[in-house]
Amino acid sequence: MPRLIPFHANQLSERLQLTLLAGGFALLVALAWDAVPAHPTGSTAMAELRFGGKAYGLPLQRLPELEHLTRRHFQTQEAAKLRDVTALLEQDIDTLFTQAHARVPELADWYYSLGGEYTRLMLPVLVRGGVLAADHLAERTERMLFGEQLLADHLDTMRGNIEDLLLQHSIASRRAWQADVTTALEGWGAVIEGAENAGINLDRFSQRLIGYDSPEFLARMTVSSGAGMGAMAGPLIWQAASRSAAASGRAAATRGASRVAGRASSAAAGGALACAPAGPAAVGCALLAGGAAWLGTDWLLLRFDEARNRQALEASLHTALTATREALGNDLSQHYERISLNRLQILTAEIEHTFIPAYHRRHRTPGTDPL
Amino acid sequence: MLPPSSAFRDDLLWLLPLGFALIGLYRFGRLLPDAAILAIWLSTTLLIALGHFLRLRIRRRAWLQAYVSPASVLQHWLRGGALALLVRVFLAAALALALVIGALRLHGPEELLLLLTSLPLIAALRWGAGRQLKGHISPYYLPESAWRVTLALTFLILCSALLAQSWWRAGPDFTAVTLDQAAWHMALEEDASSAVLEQALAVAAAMEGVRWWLAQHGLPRLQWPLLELLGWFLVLLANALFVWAWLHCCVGMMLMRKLWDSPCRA
Repeated sequence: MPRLIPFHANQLSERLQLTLLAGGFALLVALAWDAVPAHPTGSTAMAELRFGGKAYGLPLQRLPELEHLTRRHFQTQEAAKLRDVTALLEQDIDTLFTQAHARVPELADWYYSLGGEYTRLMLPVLVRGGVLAADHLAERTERMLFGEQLLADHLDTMRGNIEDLLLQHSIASRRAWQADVTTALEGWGAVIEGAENAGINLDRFSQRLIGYDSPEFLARMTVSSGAGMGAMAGPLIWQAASRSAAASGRAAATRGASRVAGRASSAAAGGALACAPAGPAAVGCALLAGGAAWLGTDWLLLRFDEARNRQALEASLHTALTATREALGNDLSQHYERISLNRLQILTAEIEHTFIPAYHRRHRTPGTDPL
Repeated sequence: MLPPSSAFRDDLLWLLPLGFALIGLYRFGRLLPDAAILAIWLSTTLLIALGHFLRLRIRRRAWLQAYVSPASVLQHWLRGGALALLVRVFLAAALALALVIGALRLHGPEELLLLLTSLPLIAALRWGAGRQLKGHISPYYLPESAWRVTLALTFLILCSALLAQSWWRAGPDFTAVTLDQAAWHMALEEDASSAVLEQALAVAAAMEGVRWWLAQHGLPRLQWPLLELLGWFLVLLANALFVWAWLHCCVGMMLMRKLWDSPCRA
């Protein structure tokens, strides 16, 4: 069979072949990289769409615009919602910790009181006897600083306020979207009278949005906001105070031990001075007088201790409160950012109405809902 | 005998136009009129049929060499002629239709790039298979053996890659709609300037919608996760026919090069 054109590809030089190949494949990749199929213009295809109880006839090309409008609306709204939540959070935390800082002198007063001193000394015995809990001191610290409530209780109140804000925002956002979509549909499409089974039912999406606005859904998403941090606040602050006390050489045990000799000698001396050496009330009198001398000595030592180290204790408490406030603020901010992102992902998936086989498979495993 | 690397380069040079044709069809296919679509389908049919027919001739030659006397008239009657070509054309027509429709319904540049990657892959595997099998297979059957190994490996690699992409790609959620809504939803999204092409695309889209609906409604009811996984693989591998057609189109192009270089050997 004669060849029409006597040409062999191998007649091209090797270098030219390689150049053609490299250039050709590079051009192929460049053309394919963001290739978008061209669609014929002027298509008269219409989609039927149901929304707000009405049926609309919409050109097919408008559907992506509707999806874009919806996606952009909820992205903007979620960003605004997160800003408001963050502002409320900062405000509430600032108020709480400003009050806590103001109560540090009150805590220091208790710390340097006889009641505080002896509570710390007797704590192991009281715990063993079941009178006090093991974390009594930490809890006492927390209650004194945060107004007779644990920080976790305050955080619960804050969470409730934030949930109310989220709810108001979500409802307003949904209503604004419904108004925008109604305006768009009336501008782009025509109302179809008597259409019962429209192809695309946006009312179903609206119903789902109402579900995502429900207090139960919001509560499920916002639970455990900072609970861990709140539960740790008291022990953290108490540990900071204890470390400060130990660093200044005033550990309760040390102080207690150093006072024992003083107490014993002063009690004995007090008893001997105040009471008669013999007689039926001598022992009782000696005990009372000795006890008073013991307490008096302790009080004096506490005052001396306070004069030397109260400032350091208050400084460590302020530092611990500041650190706790920062950690709590970061923890809660990140938590609500995650919630916002999670909600946006859920809404985006609803808007795009997509189905990814891999995620659908994962839904079978309990507790691993990727959404 | 050409140096092996030269044959590999030649194959790639002949496959390059196929890559450009694929991109052109993907990007502009929906704008073409009926005549252009028909011409593309016919030329694809002939390309695939050519590849099939030439491979048939290789197989027949090997068989005749082994079983039929060289002086027998059967050497001429059974070597593969017009009837064999006609059968191959009919088969190729169906594959070409799957190829054209599949190319127009690719899910984005990722799949397009994957198909373009298969061009150097198939050329490299063909060259490598030919070298590796040379010492083991009869020279009469060597080309066909090399083609079979090449096609099997390329098909597996390409299908695995497409399956992995489909596994993570978002598709339409039909869990809350009826079967006919799913089919119509997919069919109505297709459009083309050519009425015939639009109908064909709509039918293909409707079939895809039915597959998705059945998978989303039926597979979760299966009790065994492995069975469900297998079901998903089968659904997502529905475009295996398109992959097979694409590979045979590449084979046709590469065999056309050999025909061009050595027309007397056809």
